Amino acid sequence: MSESEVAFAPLTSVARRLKDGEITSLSLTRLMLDRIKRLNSTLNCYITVREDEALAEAEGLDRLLQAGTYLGPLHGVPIAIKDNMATAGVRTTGGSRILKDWRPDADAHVVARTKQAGGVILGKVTLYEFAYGGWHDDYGPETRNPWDLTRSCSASSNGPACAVAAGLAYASLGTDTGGSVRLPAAACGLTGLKPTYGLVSRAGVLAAGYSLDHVGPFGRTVADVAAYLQAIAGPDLGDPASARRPPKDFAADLEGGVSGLRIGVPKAQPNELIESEMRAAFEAALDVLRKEGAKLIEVELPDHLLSRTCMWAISASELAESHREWLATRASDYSPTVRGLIKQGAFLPATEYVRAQRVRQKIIAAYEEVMKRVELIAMPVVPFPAWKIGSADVMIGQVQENLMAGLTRYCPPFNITGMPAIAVPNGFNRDGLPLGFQIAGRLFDDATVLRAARGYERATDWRTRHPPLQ
Amino acid sequence: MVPKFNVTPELVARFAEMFDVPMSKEDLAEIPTQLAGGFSGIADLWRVDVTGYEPATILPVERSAEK
Repeated sequence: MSESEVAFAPLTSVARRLKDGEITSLSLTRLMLDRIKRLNSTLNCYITVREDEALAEAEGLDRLLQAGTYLGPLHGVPIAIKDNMATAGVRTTGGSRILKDWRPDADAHVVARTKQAGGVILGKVTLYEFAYGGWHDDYGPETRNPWDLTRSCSASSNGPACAVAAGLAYASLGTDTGGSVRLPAAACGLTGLKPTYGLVSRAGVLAAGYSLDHVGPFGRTVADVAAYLQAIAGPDLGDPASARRPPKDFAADLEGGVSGLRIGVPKAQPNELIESEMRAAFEAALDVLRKEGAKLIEVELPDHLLSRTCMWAISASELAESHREWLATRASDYSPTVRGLIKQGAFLPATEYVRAQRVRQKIIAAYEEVMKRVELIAMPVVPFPAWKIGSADVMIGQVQENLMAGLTRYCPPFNITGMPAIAVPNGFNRDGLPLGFQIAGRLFDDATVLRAARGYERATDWRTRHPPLQ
Repeated sequence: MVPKFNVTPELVARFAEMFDVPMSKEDLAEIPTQLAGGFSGIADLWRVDVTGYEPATILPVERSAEK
């Protein structure tokens, strides 16, 4: 295999070869570190690289395998972690100036689980400041999209998506408060899962809006994401929202296909703006699902913009509460964008927060009704592809739309409801930029979401393309 | 009743003083406009009939064990 073929192989493929003794963790880790050295100055996706530690851990994991000890589905696989997840003894910045020198004493639950499953943590990757709305210039120029270096990897888990898309890690972990796993996955041609709220612990992860925050994996294939989810899912007393139920076997039914599954397709909503190529790619994805045997059913969903407003009111309030002390003592250390967003939250009266929570309950009830008739919902992820870095607005046809408003059109309903949702690549536009759509499912039925995504993936070959990086 | 939010730089400054929200001159120049946009969406929340919907918990998913 060429270097490129090895670097862009799926996690599950290298994990199998590692287990069979065909390759070593040390060779994979060296390959990733070499590529990071070569490409990170262009892409700017790693904040901290654990070169010596990762090599030592890889050697140790190889020795364990040789001795017959297999830790789990990530054994020996090089992984990247978003820098809002605590890593013991390793700088965890949150993409901020405020935490630029923070070295936590303990690992976040998901980081510990990654290590327990045998993952080699290559380093910590970039994000919007505190995973909320804006880039902090202390971390250099914003992370570049490997498919087009003038464009963004989207928000806020830009580093986790960039690292996997560029062949600088085999998988990564990100967080999703209003779409921040699914949006970068779509912008970078990857698969990204926002699991059911409560399925994956957020203990040790910096909160953005804690009643909306989720941790989720990025991978090159649905099986990669399922494997990583298996490694991190399950109850944890350290997270007040962690569900007290054992995780299922997410790979068991992965090849079950979509035949017979009922997939809800939302009716077009008033004022819905989406680029024609994105709409066409979504329609084509629906055709594939139909041909594979899924039954598509038109469903009426609550106004997506209502979910977006709820998401904003709730997350801004929760963020402002948790940042109140720093806002008083370190205000000038925030980027202007994030400082402004936190302050907006500080101006929201409790009355509006409670109203948003009541509307949220109504939205949840409406989705519960819809989910009695279907197992899944298919929707676009975003109305436009990766945008030019520095843009504040985007053009959708002849209409100019605020970037952040457009970004948060389709993803927030599943943060509001807690439903699992996965972004899957579904094509490229005329400029060669990746496109994606999402499949959401019933609470704690992440397995069916993964099965449907795999059913679509199996019928297409979008996942096999990689960015033209040297 | 849909509230009419009145966001002006003067009122934002007074609210900030009352609730101890630190505000620089730059903030005062930018935040009123941003808030006006945010609050126009918030007003929509008051157009929804939420009779019968009360958040038993602010977390969206119940935590009890699977039956």
